Amino acid sequence: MNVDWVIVGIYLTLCLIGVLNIYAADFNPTHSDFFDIGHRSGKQAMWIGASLIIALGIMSFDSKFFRAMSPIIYAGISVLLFVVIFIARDVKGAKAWIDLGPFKLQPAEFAKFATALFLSAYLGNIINNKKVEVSSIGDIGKDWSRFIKGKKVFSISDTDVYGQVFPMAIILLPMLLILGQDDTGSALVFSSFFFVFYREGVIGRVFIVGLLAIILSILTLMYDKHVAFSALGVLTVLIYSNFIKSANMALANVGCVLVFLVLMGIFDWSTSFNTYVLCGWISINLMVVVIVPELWKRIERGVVIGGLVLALGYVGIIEKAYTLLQPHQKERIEIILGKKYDKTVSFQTDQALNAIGSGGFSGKGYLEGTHTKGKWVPEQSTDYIFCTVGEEWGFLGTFIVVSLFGILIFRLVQKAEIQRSKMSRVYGYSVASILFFHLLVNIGMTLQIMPVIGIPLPFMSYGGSSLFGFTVLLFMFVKFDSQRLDIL
Amino acid sequence: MAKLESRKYHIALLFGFFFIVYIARLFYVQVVAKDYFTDRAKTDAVDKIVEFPVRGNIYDRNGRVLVQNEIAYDVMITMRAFKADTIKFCELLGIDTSEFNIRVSDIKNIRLNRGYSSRVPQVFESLMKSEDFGGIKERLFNYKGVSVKKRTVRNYPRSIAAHVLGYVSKVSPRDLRRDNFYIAQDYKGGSGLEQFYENELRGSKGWKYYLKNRHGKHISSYLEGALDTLPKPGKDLQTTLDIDLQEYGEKLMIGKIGAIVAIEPTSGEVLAMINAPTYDPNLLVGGEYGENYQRLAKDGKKMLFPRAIQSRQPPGSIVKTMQSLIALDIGVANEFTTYSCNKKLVGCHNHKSPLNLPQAIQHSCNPYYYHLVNKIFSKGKKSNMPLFRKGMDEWEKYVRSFGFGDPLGIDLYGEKDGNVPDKREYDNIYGKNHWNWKTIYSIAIGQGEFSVTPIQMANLAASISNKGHYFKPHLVSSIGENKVSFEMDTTYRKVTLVDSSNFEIIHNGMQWVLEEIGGTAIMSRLDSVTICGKTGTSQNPHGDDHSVFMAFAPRKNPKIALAVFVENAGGGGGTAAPIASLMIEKYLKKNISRKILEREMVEKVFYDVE
Repeated sequence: MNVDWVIVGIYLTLCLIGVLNIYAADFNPTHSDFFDIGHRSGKQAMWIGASLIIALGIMSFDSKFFRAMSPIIYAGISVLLFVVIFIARDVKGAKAWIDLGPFKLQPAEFAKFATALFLSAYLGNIINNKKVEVSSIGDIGKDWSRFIKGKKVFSISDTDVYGQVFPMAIILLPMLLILGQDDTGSALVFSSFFFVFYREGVIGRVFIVGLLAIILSILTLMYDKHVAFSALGVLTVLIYSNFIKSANMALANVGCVLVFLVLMGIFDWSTSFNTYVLCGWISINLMVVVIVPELWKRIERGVVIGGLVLALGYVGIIEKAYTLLQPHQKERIEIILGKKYDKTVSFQTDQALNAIGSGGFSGKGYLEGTHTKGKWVPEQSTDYIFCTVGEEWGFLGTFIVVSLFGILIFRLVQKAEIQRSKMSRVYGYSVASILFFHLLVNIGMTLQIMPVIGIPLPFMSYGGSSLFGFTVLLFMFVKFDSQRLDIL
Repeated sequence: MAKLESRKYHIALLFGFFFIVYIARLFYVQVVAKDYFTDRAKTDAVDKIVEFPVRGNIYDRNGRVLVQNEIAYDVMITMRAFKADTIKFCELLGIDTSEFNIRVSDIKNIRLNRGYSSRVPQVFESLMKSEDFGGIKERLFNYKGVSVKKRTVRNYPRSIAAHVLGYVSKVSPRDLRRDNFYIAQDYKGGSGLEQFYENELRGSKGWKYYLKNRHGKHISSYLEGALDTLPKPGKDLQTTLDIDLQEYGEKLMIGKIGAIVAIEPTSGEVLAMINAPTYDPNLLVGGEYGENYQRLAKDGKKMLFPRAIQSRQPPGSIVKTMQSLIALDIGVANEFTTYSCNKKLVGCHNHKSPLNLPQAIQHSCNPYYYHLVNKIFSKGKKSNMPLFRKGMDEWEKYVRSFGFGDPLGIDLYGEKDGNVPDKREYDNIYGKNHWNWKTIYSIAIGQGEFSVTPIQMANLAASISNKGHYFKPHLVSSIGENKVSFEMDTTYRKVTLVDSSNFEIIHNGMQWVLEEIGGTAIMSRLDSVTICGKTGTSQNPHGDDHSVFMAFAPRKNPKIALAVFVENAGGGGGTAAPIASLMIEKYLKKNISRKILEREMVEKVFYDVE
């Protein structure tokens, strides 16, 4: 067996850090037995043990088996997700848990690996750029049976339904079902598959236009449609003008705006200041385009004007659509954009930041966190476990945790790239993207640079379903990776 | 294909970018802005609980207790845990349900009660006295969510000297802004010695730090108590008051409005300071403070008014002693200077005439001083206004040297200055130089624009008894273990402008006031002690004249100098002088030989006594 011990090592380390911090977050000086099953740390330790057994189980199967099983697993999980909507009890506003007596199962956690597995199995069977006629429904049925046997059948160009739309549908089905459970956080996780699509050939234009649409929406709702208009004008010009020769320049420009948005997140800059800087940046862009003759010449005027008209319409629609929303929906959006203050949510995030910030460079010491002991941060052993690390282990602790995740994710990307089979590569990217998204949102939320979306920190947050889900997700790749040399 | 492969760098770049941003944000929050967040975390998670110090006791000159502390109880309610039959609970505390509802809504009002938490005990009934608390203690503890906090309140075993000792009251929002020593539940000295010596009496608070959880419940001590401090009790004060003399003076002043101030002339120590009418200081204690304060403040007799240091009145004839001294010192008269009693100039009572200087004091002859003070001003020259004005300036300096016209500087807040008339004042009233001796002569006999406080009257007696100097009157002799030292205080011993050789003549006159036939206070003579005194009648445009008397005794080596001031009691000889004489006997002889006089004085009342 050719196991990647770096990935396994980081996995075990993160699990251990997790359970230690769960013990601290749930610490009760009068009942301080670590392995007490009545305590969350005790339960988590038990689940870590079970996870290791699951991991061993995965390693003992052949990867071909998982590929063959992927449609069945996917279908099974989808049915489960659908059923949950009707049988689950309402817990914290979401109907996501099935009550199994001693513990609760959250199918959404398993939907991630099931979707990743099916998607990679599907994309793994497409031979790029070779067009094959699909004449009838019967042919599709034949193709499926060959697909299950592991033979390459789909050979469809990227403009075709099977290449572009079907993978999209694979993502959207569980996403919509989870949305139906009112578990927005878990549903959003599935948007991380866009990294995979990008890598596998989704047209760059679509990606950039999509990103632009998001930025425009945020600008319109957060500031003013005029700011959005100006930003829009300049960005459309630059993207379309540069797209022909150099996509990188366009990306760099969009990147600058993004950097600025992120920087103001890091340093808590005031909103009016942001607006000025943003407008300044846009003006400079505009001037560069007008002044530099090569740029001006390169612009395809028809595309520019067409694009502008479309985008202006888009901003108008966003603004109009916003006014049509229900008051509570508006409020929700305003809170996410930071325009409005939600008392309970802001209490939670403020306390989270207080806990992390007061940890300082080296932390207050294990089991010495005043905020942690005082249970100041709600959900501290689950979604807010990172606060415990921040308060008790300080910057050293958070740096190590973020770095471990960083190493893990880069290792996954690197390993994905060296896979011989397309399926393994797609799966590797899926794992990396899902972990990255969780990390980005979970830690970003405690640091107040992301809106509050309740999803766990992989391997560390308290919870059996989540730990099992991530274990399966990760070890499936470890298994594929261990067999990569078997594939010719 | 090659193009797609290059996309792995885009993704890696994007991932890498976010990792760097997150590490930067963590560095900012945990290292750069650490202090800000530590502060915020501490305000949230650490509770600072006060331990109140015990206020210093106050003793009299012989170490007997004037003010001490007794235990009182704050009844606290923890709203979330509180379970009780409201009606029965109210009955127990002696309040009605509407009062209960008001208190509960006040407790829950975040504006009035900042930092309110339903899980933390809140004061419901404050400073319940032990005798009230003892009876309901058992039943009170049967209720869930009720707890009790021990505090201390003031207690006055002899119920005397209310104005001098002062009261202790809840701190105001202004106090909280001005002095960060105070917190909202604090009490501070609101008047009298309690106020003046607040910083010495209050001690320092102890603080205990607790870790609290999100619901405000304490979970453990903070940093194992490393920051905790114990309260330091306040310092005790030893006053110069004589508890027996004070009590006796208050007894004599029952039913009268006025003041007595008694000073030890050789030190300036105040032996007694009686303000009448007075009140039982135990009324302004604990939970009953508010109601009783309102009642006392609204009373028409101005129960809370410290007359001894704040009542400004014409001194009347007692200043004739000082006028004589000034005349002797500047040489416009001697012991044998004689004037006849010409009632056309100024009214007088019937006595033999003409009189020499000590006899003028003995009989308190008004026309005599009409002449004498005119001579001080004009030096015997008629209609010479510049000279007259100069003479008046000189007189004013003499008068001020006796401590008139400015507060004496006693250790109480609010002491008033009184008024010594001068030429500017008359210029303002009548126009420049549009006045002359006939306009202003009433200052010769201590009336008109001349005004003094009772303590200044007593101080005049002390200055005369010391033959030309006085010590700053004061009430506290030691603070804690340390004696109050006046060595460095240049204002402690003050010398009058009158040479000491002139005083024997005045002492003669003052002795005759009580001992010679025709003396104005002959009724107040005390066989066992030689008293020197001077009566006064302070003219009152609003009603009956005020009765004034100042005295010191014994004539040789005086031990006590005092002034008695009784409003609307007529001539000085009738009321003020006997009271002064009894006070002297009480202080020097401990026992009163003149029981009939004593009873007569006690029973003499000027308003209905409850």
